[in-house]
Amino acid sequence: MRVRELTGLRPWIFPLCLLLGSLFFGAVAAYKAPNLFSGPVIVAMLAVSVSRATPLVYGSLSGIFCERSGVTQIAIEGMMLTAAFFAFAVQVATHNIFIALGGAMLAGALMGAFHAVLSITFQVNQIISGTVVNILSIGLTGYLNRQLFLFDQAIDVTVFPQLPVPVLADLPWLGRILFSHQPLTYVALLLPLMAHVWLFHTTWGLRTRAVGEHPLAADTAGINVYSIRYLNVIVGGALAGLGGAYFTLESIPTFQPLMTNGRGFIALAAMIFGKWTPLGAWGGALLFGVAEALPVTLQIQGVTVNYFLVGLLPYVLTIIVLAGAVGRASPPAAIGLPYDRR
Amino acid sequence: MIDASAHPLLQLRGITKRFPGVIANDNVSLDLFSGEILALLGENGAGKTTLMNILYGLYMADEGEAVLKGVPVRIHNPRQAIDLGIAMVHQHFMLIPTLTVAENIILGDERTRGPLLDIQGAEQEISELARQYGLQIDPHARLQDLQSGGDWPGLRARGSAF
Repeated sequence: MRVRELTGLRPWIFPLCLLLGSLFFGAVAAYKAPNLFSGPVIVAMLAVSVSRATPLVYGSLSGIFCERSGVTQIAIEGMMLTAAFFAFAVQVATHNIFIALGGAMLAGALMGAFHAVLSITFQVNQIISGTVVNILSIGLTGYLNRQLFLFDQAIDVTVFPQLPVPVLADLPWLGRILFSHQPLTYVALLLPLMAHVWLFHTTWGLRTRAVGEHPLAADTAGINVYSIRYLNVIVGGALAGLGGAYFTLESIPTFQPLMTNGRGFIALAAMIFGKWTPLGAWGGALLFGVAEALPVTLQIQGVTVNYFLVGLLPYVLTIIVLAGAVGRASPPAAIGLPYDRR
Repeated sequence: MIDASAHPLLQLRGITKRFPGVIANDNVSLDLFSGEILALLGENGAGKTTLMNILYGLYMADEGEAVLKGVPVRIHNPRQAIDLGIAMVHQHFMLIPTLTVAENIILGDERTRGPLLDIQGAEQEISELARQYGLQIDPHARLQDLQSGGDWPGLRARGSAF
């Protein structure tokens, strides 16, 4: 019961996922590479999973901030891509990775503000507004990348170093899985807990839930629906921006067009998987992280399963989740509806 | 109790509100004195709720003004109305089904302990108030889990109790 209250998930979903995962893993292992079942390989895979889950965590929290206040957020992908580019561009310009991180958050927040103006003030259909952001980001980053960096060979940029946590990193198993990562990944491990406290135990969080469920009732209680929604969508943009920074400040120190590769939509699926709760979305992000780490692990282990076929796993999982396999999705009641008081 | 020579506590002067195709309030004026209980009577669609919504800042009047304690006020939103001491008990439940009883009651006037909501304090206070008035309310229950009609009416007290 407690699990369900905290994450919105049925408690049996976690053992079920574990069981299915190990069945699949076991089948592949028995069939192709017995090595795959060994401890170190599994630990390595889980460590990669946690890292791969990082942008999904930020993305799904971005979705929660926006959608809990009643604004549809399908623009996570576009906000991430824009932020990934500006993180790279700012680092090239300033050679300072922290300013680059700020640039990524700012770029995400600005895209969030754009989405907010369109959908809250001008009451544009929020799916269309989100699509505008997604398409704009592809064009904008593609164009600027071509103009600024295509022929520039001597770009000197870096990624955040691995920072093993003293003592904890030496723990068997867990040390490798949780405590030997880059900074954005550590923050992604803590942020869902903070978001949980924010949503359910602070004034801002309570008002967010009220505004997303029944804006008129919130308004009559003296809450400014518009400012809560603006604030949440802009903060949501900044969170997506942190997710975007993962690609160019943690993963690889360069920008490639379309490099977010659908992760924004997978983050959306993780949010729905977690029924719009931070802790549930975290579980979803980790599950998708495993799905992304699996093909990498198989490849490293020399298993000759078609890489592209296994690489489809996260996307297939997304379809299954979005098709409602996790039980009835219960989005905030006022989602997608502009608030208009006359 | 009502002193006719005193100034009215609240005056509405010439309130007019038009919706597309219909005039909901046409030049409505009323005086309300301190200690007075005033009932507006009228058939469905007469514009009673519209007038109250204007007073509460949910609608903006097209013409006319409200005068509170002799001072003309322009009420743009419910927050402003609440701060001016105007409370409204709505005809339809202005409550949020997914929130708990306590969360619904403190909404808009939250008390906090440090950075966090003091839900427990609010729940205790609500339980005490409920006992005082002989109501059966579990402040921790979600509204959507309550029987409408059975447990809800007590929540109408929201505007006055807090």
